[in-house]
Amino acid sequence: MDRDIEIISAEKWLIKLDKSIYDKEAVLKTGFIFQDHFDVKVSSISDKIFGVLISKKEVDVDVNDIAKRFFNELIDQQIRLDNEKMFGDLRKEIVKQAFRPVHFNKIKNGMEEKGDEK
Amino acid sequence: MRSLNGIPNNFDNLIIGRVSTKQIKGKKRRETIFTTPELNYDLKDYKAIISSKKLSSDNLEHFSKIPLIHSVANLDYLNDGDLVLLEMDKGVITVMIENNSVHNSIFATSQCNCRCIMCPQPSEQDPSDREQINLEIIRLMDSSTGALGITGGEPTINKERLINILRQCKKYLLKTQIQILTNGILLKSIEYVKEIANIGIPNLFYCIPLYADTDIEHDYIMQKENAYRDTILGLYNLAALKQSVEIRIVVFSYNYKRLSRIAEFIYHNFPFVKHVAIMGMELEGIAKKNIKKLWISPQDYMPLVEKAVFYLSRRDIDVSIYNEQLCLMPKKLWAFSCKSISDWKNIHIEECDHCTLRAQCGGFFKSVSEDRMKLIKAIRNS
Amino acid sequence: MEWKKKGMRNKKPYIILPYHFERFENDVLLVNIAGEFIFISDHEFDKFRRYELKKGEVTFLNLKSKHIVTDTNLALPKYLLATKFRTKKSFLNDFTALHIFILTLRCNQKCRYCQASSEDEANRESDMDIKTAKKCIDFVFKSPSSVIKIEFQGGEPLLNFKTLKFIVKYAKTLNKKYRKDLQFVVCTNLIKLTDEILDFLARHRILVSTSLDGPKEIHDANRVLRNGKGTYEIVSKNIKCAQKVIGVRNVAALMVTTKYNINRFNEVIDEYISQGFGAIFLRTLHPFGRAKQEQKLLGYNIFEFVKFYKEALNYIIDINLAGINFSEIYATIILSRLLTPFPTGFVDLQSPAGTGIECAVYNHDGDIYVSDEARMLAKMGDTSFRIGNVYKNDYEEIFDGEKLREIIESSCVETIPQCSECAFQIYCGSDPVRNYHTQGDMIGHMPSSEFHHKNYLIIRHLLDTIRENNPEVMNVFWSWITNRSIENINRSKALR
Repeated sequence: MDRDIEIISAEKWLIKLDKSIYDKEAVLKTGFIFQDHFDVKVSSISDKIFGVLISKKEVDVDVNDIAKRFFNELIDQQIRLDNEKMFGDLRKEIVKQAFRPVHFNKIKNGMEEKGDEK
Repeated sequence: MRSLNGIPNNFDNLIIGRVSTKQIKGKKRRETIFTTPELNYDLKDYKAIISSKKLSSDNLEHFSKIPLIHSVANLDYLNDGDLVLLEMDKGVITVMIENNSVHNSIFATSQCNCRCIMCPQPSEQDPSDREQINLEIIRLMDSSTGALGITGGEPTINKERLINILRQCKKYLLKTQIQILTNGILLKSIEYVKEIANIGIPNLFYCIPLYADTDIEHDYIMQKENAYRDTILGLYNLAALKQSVEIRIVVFSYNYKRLSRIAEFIYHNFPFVKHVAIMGMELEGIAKKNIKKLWISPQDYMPLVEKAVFYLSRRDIDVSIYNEQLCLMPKKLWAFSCKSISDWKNIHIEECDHCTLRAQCGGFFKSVSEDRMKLIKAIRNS
Repeated sequence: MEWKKKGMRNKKPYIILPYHFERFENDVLLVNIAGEFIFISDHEFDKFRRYELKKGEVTFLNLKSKHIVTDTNLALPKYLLATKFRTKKSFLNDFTALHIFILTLRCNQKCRYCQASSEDEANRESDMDIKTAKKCIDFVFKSPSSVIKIEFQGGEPLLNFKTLKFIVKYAKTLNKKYRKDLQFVVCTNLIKLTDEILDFLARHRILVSTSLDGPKEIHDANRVLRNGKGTYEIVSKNIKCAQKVIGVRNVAALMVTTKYNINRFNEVIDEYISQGFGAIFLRTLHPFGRAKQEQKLLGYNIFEFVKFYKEALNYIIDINLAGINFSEIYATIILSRLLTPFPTGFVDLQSPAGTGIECAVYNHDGDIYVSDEARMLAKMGDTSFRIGNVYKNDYEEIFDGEKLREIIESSCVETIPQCSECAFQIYCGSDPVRNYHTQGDMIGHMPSSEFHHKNYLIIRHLLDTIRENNPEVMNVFWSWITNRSIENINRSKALR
């Protein structure tokens, strides 16, 4: 199980997350989005697990619903983080290519010529 | 092109001239080919004579000074203003330009750099004097002609030839829309496009086929590696130099299911396109050989054509349907259908005699398949 | 395939190109760099991410066609994406096109939610004088933009008609040399409309933008004269005059949402149609000026606004389906961004923000601001967004200066927290002045930003509607985007 929930009190939970799957950054980003609902504190429990302490802010809120949305958001934030590692550089290259100055007489066939032809 | 046969007299050269079914006077005779059932006229100074009269070898003595082809059946195929090519050695008359048609083309070359699996052009050798003939045709054409297609083969293969043709068009056909039918592959060189653009033809269109929204599929249909990539680069060069572009999609078994996606790809990647033509197959040449693999019934593909047409029309992209019959498409598509088939290719089907929309319908290719003919139904009360 | 030839067997079967995603019930929206999107199912999304899509299958081909995957060529999708991204951002090419002139702070009305200001009609010290106007126009023509749109605002700009006339004539004179596409708009309450004014507007092709909050009861609830009386009657009368003299197409109206009309949008829309308008812009109230002081006027939060907005949009769609061409302006802008490859110039919602680089505000005293809100902040004592003065600074100091650069750098959604991962970023934008004013810094804080919530929810709603793919509704949307009738789309007139 990549995640594990320990209920500390009615307003506090400790979520244990597998470090090999979730980055701290993903947790913090998720926390950022849910900050109207939760206070989020992240710390390292062991070298394989970190703990996320969640304190509820609002009184009458469906805990299960919010927790479910939190986890779904966390998964998606992790996907986004992984994606950026995968194609962040390619994105920058494309944007750079988009704004390169145009020397009309020097266009050969419009594409980059340095070895990214596959 | 329409051809007639007859018996030539003693000349053996190639002659190009303008048909006249009536006598004309003076200098104009020099470029005119007088077409007549009878020969008891003053025939001096005409470029050539075509007649349906049957002459025996004795009578021919009287007509030794002027090229003549006699005993021609179907003389009424020839109309005033048509441009014909006479092969005097064979007695063959070919109608190169039809005065009444809006779909005239000249063939820049038979050579092609692809081998599309549904290509309707039969492969043949380029006659050595093709270039001369083309330049002569353009010179003799009526300068008020609406449109002239430059086709082939692949017109861009021989750059010098193409440029010469285009220069001739600029000189003699300034008001005519010149349509280059090309796969655009060699236009991936921006220098090539610049050369054409610099000729300065005021109304120039490039008609470029795209058969798929992805490379593997498009390249397979063209039977040429990197066709997709090169055509797209050509399209972008044309756009960079503000040339007018039409994209054509021939619909058949390999691509009909993705027709909407192709339309989408065109809109997002080539929004500068001036016109999109969605076309039924012409079953000649290679297409005829492959018909079993290529054929898909209009009943199956027309709903997809409808989706693609309205996709583009919503986005204010001018779109037309070519080579389809009105009875095989829903009424809401009629406004998009064009009479695109050159008149000489049209044939007659009896069912159509009863149809109220016959005049507006595009008709058929000579090569129409049995399967399609079975689906034709006259529209009676419209 | 190159990679196969090189014997790299455990390489992935396709390359994933940059994309953003957002979940929609059981579907996932994927958006490529150029803003082209596609919906695929949750299940297909997982397969896609795990490299389990088969090359011939429909989803794979669809993603390939949208440049989200490639299994053959990388250079070509890069080239196409770069070209399309450049096109989307090409609204930046021309620099400042919209120049707003605050001709006076005087106003003959005292609307309860007035965010501009409305000083007494007699106080002429806040009028822009001819000398200042001339200096400002000299500045305007320094902009490299080939389109120059001069918008007259105030107070009530027609109260300083003398300067307005001067500006139009002087600008046209200068334009003989510069040859730009020169346009004029006057944002007026149409209370004071004389024949002389109408004649001038017609002769110089000046567009009119006025305010109409709804039928009489709604309009007069907030838009009152200084003596408290309602203005609906005279405004309606003058709208007709203006339409008659300068043409119906050249008179537009804006409305402001307050608690008086938020649950009565249908009536407001009906009023607009009956007065001959072809479009409406359902706008929220900005928390500035007197509006902030009179919070009770608002009486709605942004989520309520979005709820009523969606209902109003449905109502407008139905009206179109019944045969009346009528559009909602904000929806049209977002739809253009969602569905076309073209850029849309809308200074209030773009990345980088339009502040200064697309729009500049010239105050009556020659101060230049990046937006109207920036000017109002200055009125309240904060000059953070004043970028210069026509008498004290030259053009380069102002428009190529540090201050403007800093503002622009803080307004790129691609680098703002939460925005940078958002799938809607290319359809959206940022407002550094609003962020600063409501939240304390230019970057802003999206989770608590009303600006964010409104844009996010409406963009999402429009995408949901597009996902349904109802052909009739799509016809309506496209009639707005391409500014033509549904008949034209269907070529109904050409049908036999």
